[in-house]
Amino acid sequence: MPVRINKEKQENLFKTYTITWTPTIVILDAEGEEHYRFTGFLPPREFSAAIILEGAKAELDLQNYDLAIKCFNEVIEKYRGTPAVPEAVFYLHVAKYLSTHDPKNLRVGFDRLTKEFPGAEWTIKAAPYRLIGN
Amino acid sequence: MITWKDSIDQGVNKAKEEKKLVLVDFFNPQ
Repeated sequence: MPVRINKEKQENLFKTYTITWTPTIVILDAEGEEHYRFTGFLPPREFSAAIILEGAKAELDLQNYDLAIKCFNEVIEKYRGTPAVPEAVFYLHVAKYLSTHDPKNLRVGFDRLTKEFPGAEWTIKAAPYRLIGN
Repeated sequence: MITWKDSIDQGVNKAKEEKKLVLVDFFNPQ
């Protein structure tokens, strides 16, 4: 559900949500709880990738694993080359691990990140998973 | 075509009905 909050008309909500810079996108669940946010301008393709990624992470928080996996794959397949992809690969394999309890999914994620995004932040964050056996 | 609401409460209520998430764009028109 898309909502736009204008600083000039609803400044109280900027205080409530501690928004210090614009544009800021905040993802809420159906109970109004915040899950993720990001700030700054992005071109349309990068913006689409970012909001699908953040939505997928929120679905992961809500344990909607199948939907989260579908959305992470959408980012990876349709938005190749955008900055959202390495994080989507990381969380795709986290979601697979959480839905199956099979730690090999984390190792597969690390191997994929190492191959496709060597040196990237999300590859570094996945480094401990190299200790998981194949 | 996206129809933007201007109320977080409206967005949350609609999200409850449709079991979806709410995307809030905080912007400054200046």
